[in-house]
Amino acid sequence: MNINWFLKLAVAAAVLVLGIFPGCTPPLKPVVPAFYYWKTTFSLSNLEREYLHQIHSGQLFLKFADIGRNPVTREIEPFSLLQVTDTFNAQTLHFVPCFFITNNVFEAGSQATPAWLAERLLETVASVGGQFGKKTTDWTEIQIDCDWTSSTRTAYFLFLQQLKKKLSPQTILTATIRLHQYKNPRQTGVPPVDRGVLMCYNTGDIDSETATNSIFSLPDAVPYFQNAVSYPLPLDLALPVFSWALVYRDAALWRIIPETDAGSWSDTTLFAPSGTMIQVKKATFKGGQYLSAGDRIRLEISSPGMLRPAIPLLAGVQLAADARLLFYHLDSAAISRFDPTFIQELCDTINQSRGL
Amino acid sequence: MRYNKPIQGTLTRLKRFFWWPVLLAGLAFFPDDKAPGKGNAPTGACSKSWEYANGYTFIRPDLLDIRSAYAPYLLDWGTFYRDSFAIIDWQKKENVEEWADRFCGLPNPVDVEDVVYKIGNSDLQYLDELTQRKRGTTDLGYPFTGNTFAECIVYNGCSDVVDYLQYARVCEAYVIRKASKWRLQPDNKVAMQQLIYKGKGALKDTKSYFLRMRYLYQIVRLAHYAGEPQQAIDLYNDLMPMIEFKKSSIMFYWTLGHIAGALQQQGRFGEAAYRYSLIFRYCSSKRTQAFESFKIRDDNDWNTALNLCKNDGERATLFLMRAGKYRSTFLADMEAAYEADPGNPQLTLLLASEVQYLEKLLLRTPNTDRRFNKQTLSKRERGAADRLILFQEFVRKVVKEKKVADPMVWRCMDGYLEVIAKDLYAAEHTFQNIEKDLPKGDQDNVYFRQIEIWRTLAEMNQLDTGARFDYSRAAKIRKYRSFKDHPDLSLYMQDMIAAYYEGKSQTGLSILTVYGPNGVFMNPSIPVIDQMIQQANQGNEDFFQATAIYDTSSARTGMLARLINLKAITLLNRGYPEAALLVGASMREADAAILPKYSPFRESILDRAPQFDPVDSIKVSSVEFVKKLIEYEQLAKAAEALNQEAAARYYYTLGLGYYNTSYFGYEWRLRDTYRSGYNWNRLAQGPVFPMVDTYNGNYENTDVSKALSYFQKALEFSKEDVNFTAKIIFMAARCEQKMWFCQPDCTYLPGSKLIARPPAEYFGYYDALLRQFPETEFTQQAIRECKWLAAYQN
Repeated sequence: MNINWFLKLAVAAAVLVLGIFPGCTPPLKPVVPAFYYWKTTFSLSNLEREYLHQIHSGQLFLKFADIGRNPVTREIEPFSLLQVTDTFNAQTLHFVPCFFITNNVFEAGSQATPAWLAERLLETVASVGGQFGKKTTDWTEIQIDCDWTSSTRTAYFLFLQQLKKKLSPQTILTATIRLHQYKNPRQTGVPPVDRGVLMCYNTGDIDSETATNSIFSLPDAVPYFQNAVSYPLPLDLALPVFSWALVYRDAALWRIIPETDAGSWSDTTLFAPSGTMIQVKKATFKGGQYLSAGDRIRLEISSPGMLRPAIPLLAGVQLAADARLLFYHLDSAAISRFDPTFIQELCDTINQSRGL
Repeated sequence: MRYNKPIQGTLTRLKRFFWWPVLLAGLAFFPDDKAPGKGNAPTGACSKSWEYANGYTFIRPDLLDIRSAYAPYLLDWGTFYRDSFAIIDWQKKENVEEWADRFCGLPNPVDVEDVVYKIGNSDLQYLDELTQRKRGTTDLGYPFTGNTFAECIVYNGCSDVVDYLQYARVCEAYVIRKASKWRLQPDNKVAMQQLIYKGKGALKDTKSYFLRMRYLYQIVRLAHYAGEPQQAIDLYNDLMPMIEFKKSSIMFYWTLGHIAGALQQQGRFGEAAYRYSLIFRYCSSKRTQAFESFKIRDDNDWNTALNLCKNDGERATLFLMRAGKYRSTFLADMEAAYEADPGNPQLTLLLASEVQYLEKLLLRTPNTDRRFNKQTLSKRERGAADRLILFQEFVRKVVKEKKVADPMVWRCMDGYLEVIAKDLYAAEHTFQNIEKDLPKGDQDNVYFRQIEIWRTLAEMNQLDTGARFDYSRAAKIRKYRSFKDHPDLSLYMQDMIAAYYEGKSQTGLSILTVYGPNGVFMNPSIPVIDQMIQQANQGNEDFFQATAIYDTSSARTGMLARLINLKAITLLNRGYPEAALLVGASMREADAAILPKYSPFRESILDRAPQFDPVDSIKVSSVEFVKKLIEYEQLAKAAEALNQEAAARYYYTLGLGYYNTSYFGYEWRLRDTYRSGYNWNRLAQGPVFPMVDTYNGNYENTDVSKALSYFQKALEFSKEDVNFTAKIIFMAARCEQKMWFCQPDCTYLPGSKLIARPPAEYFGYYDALLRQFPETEFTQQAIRECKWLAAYQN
């Protein structure tokens, strides 16, 4: 028996064994919850620490910086580098540096090469990460968030390739995947990363005054999952726990007021309910915006009640064997709306659907 | 202490000054620290707090006080401010003026700037020595020869000034970002506290109130940037009483800016807003930062700020800032500001700001929206008419009361608002009344020229765009001085004419009018071309009017010929050569004869130039090219039926024709109007690429699969001549390589010095060439000429 024949036999045997014993593929693990931390100053409150402890979450996806274009010079720059002001008990958490990159960074006319941008990004990882006493090579994962389009896909993917090349072998590169990208991987492309995070939010049209809820609406979300082909990357799942008030003026979206709650719109001398919206009766400052009489507000608040009906749908998503369930994003308002038991309920349901 | 100095010596320029980082460059008083939504635009991006509608403005910038430092926040002339106005460094300018003023205006501002901002630390140290050694003299020698500011300092022995400048330089290092923007600033809190301590001592030691104020600015700023807002406020409260003001100082407002920033850091937004309004009102060098940092969270903040105002003027500024920043109750804020302080010159800028908003909403056509890519304007237009009426009422009241600083501007704007409201009779009446009060005979007066523009605009709005466009009147308007002076009039005219064409379903002419030939030719649409050809053939006047400037032939057939040619090559690109032939045949022979000719069937190893003996070097026009393609195809098929090897030659030639006229070939002009080299960077996005000033992008012939299919057919019939077979394989390999370049996951970077390494599925023909035909004469020649092939061989 020559060596070639022996090799063929060995390969055939391996295929047979793997086919008969699926246990040889990576074993499924229970999904674990994790949170995004999207503020520009890192300092966890006792409440936030306690909450993370209660939901047994050891992972925090920290936004290290936004990367965009300077509106005057058009140069690519980082904005809002994360300032760490309190590292108390930080060593007990596992951090993942995240970067939000605006799509226009990759638009035509950019003089910056993908390699240059990758190097600059790692410069920021070193500088911001240094506040935790870490070197660039210490991070086990780096995540990039960019809503790429057909016109920026090539440049964005080249950037990811360059970044991946520059990372140490033990650092994995992950990227966010929007629902439309998940639904149409052939058309939108698949980012050249190690794994993706499927963002199950922003399902509606934020610009439309008549939309019901742009953060998450089950009827809006369903089409993205119908007939979806298996996504060619191991996936984590990200869910919304944030809220905002969308201000419409002259039938167009005018401003977004982040992190709001229904109670702050209850002053009937200033606001009046108008169908599913709120009508401003009298000019007033609210959340740093100066609202005018006649402005129409749509409150969009993530809640367990909003997400619970979607659990069966989400449980059907083919996730990575070691998938994580991420929530955007950690703050006191989200904590007050989402009881730890609900987070556990979500994880349990998904685990059950995975046979765990 | 007073400074006196007789200026002596020549004012030669200092030569050996180092560039010093802008000493007192602007920093935002308080960095924004809000968390943006995931997926939203990043914070920190400096931008206007409200959006202007994109569109045209028919107001001349010189009608207003364009030098006013308030103007950029309240007005919009797009690139006008970016290109000419905003480049003025007000901060440096005012600081230099204040230093010069401190020395009774004796030093030249340029010399002040050199000493304060440009010279190196060692020269400053040397200046300090000179103040000790050469007091009472002006002969300073190199490097201060002729520097009037240095002369003033030394003559008066002002070592305290030099001490301060040296101290400021040290402070600067801690507050100005020097490192890469991609890194955090180093933590220098201990050093900053040491500097504050040193500055406090120096402030107390110096007798000059001028310098005390500057020391106070430095130490308050250090405390603010060290993240100690309460310390900044305490320092200000403790030390400010030690400063006596005989004259107002910009340093007071600069310091106040940091106090406002510190108050915001403590969540005291109302108190901060009041201070920002003072800075906005009185200090042009910090106006930008004050406007950007002015932030009101809720009604309590607003009431706090309002209650802190000490007089009507301060209250008026708060209303003006709210109007300019938020625009939510613009008219009400303007009325409140007018009632409180009618003589405030900023009111005129706000007036112009609102007129600009209204003109952009109401003087536009659907083509204007398309040009500016702002589809939301039509929605906003709904409330614009009511807004205009209310605003007109207010303007008329102001004009009548004659209390404002620029009554003539208000009168002019009153007339212009009537033009916008299409009340042309009233507008003309207003303009005539204004002209009676203007100096006679001065037709270059800005008011005259502004009224000329608005009259032209009014006349344009009267153009009949109903059944038939009034071209002769439009031609007359085009000759007006004002039309030539004010570029937006021409663009608006284009939009109007294009809207007329659209109303008559003449889409092609509409596109041609707005975008020029690029609009029609870059990414051609057969129905649009057909429509235009039909109009031309029918002798439609609209067609000739629209194409007149692009069609200079006396027979007026140039544009028609181009359209026919365009249709033919579009059909060819879509795979219909026979249809292309028929269309080409409809071109007048005289037009076909002057079409440019190219050599699409020449062989070459490199894409850039033909290299070796051509098989067929005939030169053909696009019409002839189509004929040749059909002829070769027929000949190839005939040879194929007879199983002759000649089929290989014909298929090869066809492949060459398609490859050479593709995006990658040197004769691309035969099948395209414009090839953009930039698209090399984004081939995967093709074949239609976004392009500015085009209607729907630019189509490039990046698909070489047809060429490849001909080369593959040629290979089937190439039996005897191995050298020829190698050539065919080589061309097929080039096609495969270009097809790989168009894939999204292609790793080759255009312009890279690295060799492109296609993956196996796109490397088959190169592999075959090098494995099966390495020794042919052609392969050897190709390896010599093509470095990539040589690299693949290894």
